[in-house]
Amino acid sequence: MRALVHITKEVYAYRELLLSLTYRNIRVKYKQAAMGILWAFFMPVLAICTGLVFRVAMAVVGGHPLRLADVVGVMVKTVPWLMFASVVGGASNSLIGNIGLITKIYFPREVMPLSALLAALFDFAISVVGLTLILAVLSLVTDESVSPIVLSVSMLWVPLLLGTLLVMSAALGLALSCANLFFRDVKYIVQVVLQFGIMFSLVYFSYEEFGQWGWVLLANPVAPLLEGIRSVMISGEMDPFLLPWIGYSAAVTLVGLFAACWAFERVEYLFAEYA
Amino acid sequence: MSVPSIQVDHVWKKFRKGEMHDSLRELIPAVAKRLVGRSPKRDDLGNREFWALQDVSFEVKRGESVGIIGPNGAGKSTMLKMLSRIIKPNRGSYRVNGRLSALIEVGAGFHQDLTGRENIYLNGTIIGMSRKEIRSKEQQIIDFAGVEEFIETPVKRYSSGMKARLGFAVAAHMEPDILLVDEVLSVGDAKFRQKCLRHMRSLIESDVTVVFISHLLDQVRSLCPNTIVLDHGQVIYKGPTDGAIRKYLDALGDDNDGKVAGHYTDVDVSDIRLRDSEGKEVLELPSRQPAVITFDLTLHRPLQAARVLINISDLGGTYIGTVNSKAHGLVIPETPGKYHMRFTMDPMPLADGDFAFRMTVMAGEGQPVCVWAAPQPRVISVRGSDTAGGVILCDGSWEITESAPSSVVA
Repeated sequence: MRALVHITKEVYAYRELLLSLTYRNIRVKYKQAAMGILWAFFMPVLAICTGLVFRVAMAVVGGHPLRLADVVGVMVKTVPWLMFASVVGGASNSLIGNIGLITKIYFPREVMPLSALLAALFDFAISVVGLTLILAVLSLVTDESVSPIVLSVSMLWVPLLLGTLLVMSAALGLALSCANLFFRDVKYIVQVVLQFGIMFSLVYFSYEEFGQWGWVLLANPVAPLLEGIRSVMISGEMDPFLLPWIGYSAAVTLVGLFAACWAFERVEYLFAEYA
Repeated sequence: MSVPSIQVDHVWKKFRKGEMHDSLRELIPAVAKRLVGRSPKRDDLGNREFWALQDVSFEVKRGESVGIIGPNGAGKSTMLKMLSRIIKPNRGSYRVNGRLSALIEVGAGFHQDLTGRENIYLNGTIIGMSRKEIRSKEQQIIDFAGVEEFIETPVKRYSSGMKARLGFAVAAHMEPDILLVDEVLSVGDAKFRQKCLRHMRSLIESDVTVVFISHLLDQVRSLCPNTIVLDHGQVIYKGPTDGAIRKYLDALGDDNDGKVAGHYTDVDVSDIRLRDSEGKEVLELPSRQPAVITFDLTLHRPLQAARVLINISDLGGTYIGTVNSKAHGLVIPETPGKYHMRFTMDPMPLADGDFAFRMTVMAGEGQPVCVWAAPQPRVISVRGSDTAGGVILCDGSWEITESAPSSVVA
């Protein structure tokens, strides 16, 4: 707790640096890229299409037509997952990627992973705009009875769940960024896990589809959050079965955040020596 | 007098030689231990560890400028990194009172793909300026660095000199209370270096505390009245810079002592003394007077074409000249024995300053080899030349006559 407060204070004191670095991260990413801002759409579109392939196969095997709810479910879960993956991936490389600065200049080191997080949020915001447009178009072309999303008060869950997911990714990113400095193989492990993690986080499937084994996948603390988002978006209300699981995710997130801050503070002063 | 800007109190810092951990198997438990804080002997020297700083204490008063010199690996940069909070001491403590800026490596925070202007903001915030502050100094920084024309060009297309200049310009405009400078005044060309030095002087005059690390002893002398000499992690001298420079050169010499001096079995030089024209031994040479150096040369075996050389350089290491006994027509006997030698330099051509004299004895026809070398240079001060500066005396005579007075008026 003390570590968290300390980190918050330091980051606040260095907020201008945080913004500067975030600006740099975003600027550099889009500057010399032929596709420019289209990059922000490329990944989500590809990931959603991958999910649709699974959904089509499931529909064919199950002998039913492709349901709009399934398609929308894949969409609303893929975009937050990609945010999670890009925060964790970006943050975990942030310290090692700026090692030249870390060994030469003092600033609160947590600014680095956090600026990676903010830069990932920028991409996420762009995807959300795209997704909103797609959903709006979908609800225009489909008739009332099969509307892709249900607008309701339950939608208030969405920011809450996204917030939890973001904090979870921040905690993970913070911890991995320092682990990455000490052990170089962390980078590759993170890369592989993030690449295949999408299959283990109920992004393309829902927990019901696994019957009695659904809990195995829900044990991944990312999954209940994504499932919660799908539930409120599609049905307009939170699936009561998911509530304890969401509580579990929130608990894991909170503990993870404290642990990550504590560990970060403990090893922070070693960065410049051992990196 | 208010609180000192920097107080360093018995600081110890250790580093490890070689890799930190060899395998993942030994590494995970070690880190786990460190996290839990039960690492057995954090303050003692473990296997493969060494002290980079040992029991270092000093104080820098507000507005004072202090140099830190010492041979490579003496712990100078470690000291600065510690003061700028990049690393922590293992034992002891230090206090820094005031806003601190470190010029450790200029332009370390530059991003190659961003333009000069964007990098001013990025680098500025990294070293702790606010955006507002940078905005108000932006034009000054650009002018100082002299990169106006390229300010919208990505830094990757800059020459290395331009990058260094821009980096220095950003850091120099931070207005810190305390400025740490590590070997950065050697960036850019001679003109820019002068500009940097001028800027540093104006900072010092405006009551900024400066800690200055350099191997360029002249720079240290011109900026810092007091200097600390570090050697092997220990403070071996604190005090006026001239004394520090002597101590530093001694420390450099000591390093060679064991390795080089022991080899010379053929020749010995002893009792080297500096005298004035009356033969009285002196420590400081009055300028424009003859200078005399006397010493004893002992040949333990016959040597062909032996000659004594005295290299003179300034304390910054710039070579000034060599006294060569052979060129002066002196023939040193080939037969072994002890000879008393006396060299008179008349007139002594050096201007005010400190100079390092290093004596060597060479022997052999064709390709002479070094048969003896002084373990350390001898620092000699010259005073009283009354010149405007420089290293050598430029004496001569003047004449002035009136030329065709009537034609000027017409």
